[in-house]
Amino acid sequence: MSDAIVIEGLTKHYGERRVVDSVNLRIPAGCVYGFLGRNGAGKSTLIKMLLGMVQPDAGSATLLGENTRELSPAMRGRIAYLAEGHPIYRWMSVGEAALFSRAFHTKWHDHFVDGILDHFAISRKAKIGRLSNGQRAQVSLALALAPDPELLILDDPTLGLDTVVRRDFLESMIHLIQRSGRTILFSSHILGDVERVADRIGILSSGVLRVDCPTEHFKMALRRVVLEFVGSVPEFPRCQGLVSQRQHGGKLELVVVGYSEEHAAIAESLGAVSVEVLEMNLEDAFIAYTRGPARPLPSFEREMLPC
Amino acid sequence: MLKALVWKEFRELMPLILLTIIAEFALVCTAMGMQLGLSSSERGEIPFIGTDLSAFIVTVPAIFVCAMALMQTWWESSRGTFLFLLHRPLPRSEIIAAKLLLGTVVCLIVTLLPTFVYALWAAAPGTHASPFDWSMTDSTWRQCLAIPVLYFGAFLSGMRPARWFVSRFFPLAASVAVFLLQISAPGGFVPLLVAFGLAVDAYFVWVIFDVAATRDFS
Repeated sequence: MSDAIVIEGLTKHYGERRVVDSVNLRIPAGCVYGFLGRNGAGKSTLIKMLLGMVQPDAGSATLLGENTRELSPAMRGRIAYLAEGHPIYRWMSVGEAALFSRAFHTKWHDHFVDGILDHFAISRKAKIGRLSNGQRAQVSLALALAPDPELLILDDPTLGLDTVVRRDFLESMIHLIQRSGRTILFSSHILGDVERVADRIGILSSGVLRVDCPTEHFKMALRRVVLEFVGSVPEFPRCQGLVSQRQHGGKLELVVVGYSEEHAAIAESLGAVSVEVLEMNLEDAFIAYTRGPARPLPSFEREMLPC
Repeated sequence: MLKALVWKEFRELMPLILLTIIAEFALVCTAMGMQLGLSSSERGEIPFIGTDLSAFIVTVPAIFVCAMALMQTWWESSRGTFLFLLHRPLPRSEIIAAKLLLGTVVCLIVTLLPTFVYALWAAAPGTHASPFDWSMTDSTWRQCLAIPVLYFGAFLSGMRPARWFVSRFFPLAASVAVFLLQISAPGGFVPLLVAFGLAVDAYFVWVIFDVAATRDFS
């Protein structure tokens, strides 16, 4: 399977701060990739570098085989990009926005636009500026889909949308995912959304890509381990896979990547009277993995598994 | 594609263009009224000479072109629509060229048209009780033709990234200095000043394209 997105050592500094740090990533064609990270983790900057909106300080990337520093107009026509906040000209009506966007594409499917507008009861005469955030998001998606792009890059598309609208937006997205061969990269803060649609996830933490694996793999690999002690609670020694530890009364709660016999042996040597290994849902796993101050985190394996 | 871009720019700027044209023609009408003694102001000024309103007919578009250039750049950037616009399947240079093309044409129309109307009125026999010769308009035309440098300076100020508010306006400040030099130098230097003005215009345009190609749109 060919790669729709290839990122090699992409790095960006803003002043002294390294916002994106030597990111390497390959996203196969047809994959739905969810990009996660806390605010300021570097998700938007990485996406903007992919689209040539931000110039990288080092590294390179290709989209559908073309270097992102010099994306040709023809290649841009094959890629849909929804920027954060769905910026469209607010003074335009929906119809004018569609006409404006259509002027740049040789291939344009009006029925995509009509279908979404009809489904969400959005009039073509309505001014973009008077639409709700959710309606604007749907119009953005409709305009992005009309040229039938091969690759969709969505920067936090559900940001600021209420639960119902978010669900509608995701359903539109799922519907479009069902069209074969289309690759989607989207960033989000909402783990439930990612869990619903992504085959594979990447987690950026302080600009470093810590996780790149199938969604299920991430959920399965991260475990909450509760150790119970009688008397004083010792500190768990730093070891491979340990993400965090917190003390609650006589209990020590660990978050561990790939809990193994080695971890169990350490727990036993510390004198734990009981060891409870718990599964975590994606949201809990993500929070546990990224909570707290910036620090080195155990990375997940990055082998490319088929989506 | 270019047509769509130009249409979008025009629609976006239309309220500002209309407002400026209305202000311009209000000034032209006031200037005519002063010549005819219809205005409460002192009458008998010679058109394009002394303290008549022709100076304001240039000042209004000077302010307008700066506002227009900032609307085309800074405003677009602050609303995030540059991300939408620059992802259109068109070379970035063509998108910027469409903005500059429309801006320059509007800049010249808004600057030259009211001056031309006022000059035509002044040249028509019997419209006012003062002498008129077309050479009296030279200084005003020169001022009009110096205005594009303000537009390019303001456009560059809106385009270039800056660490703080004041440094953003350095190109505009430089263009104001060039503009003042062009309009205040003695008449004998006109060819030299025109050449200098065009050279500065060309330099600004070159830097605008360079900045558009290399800056981060975040």
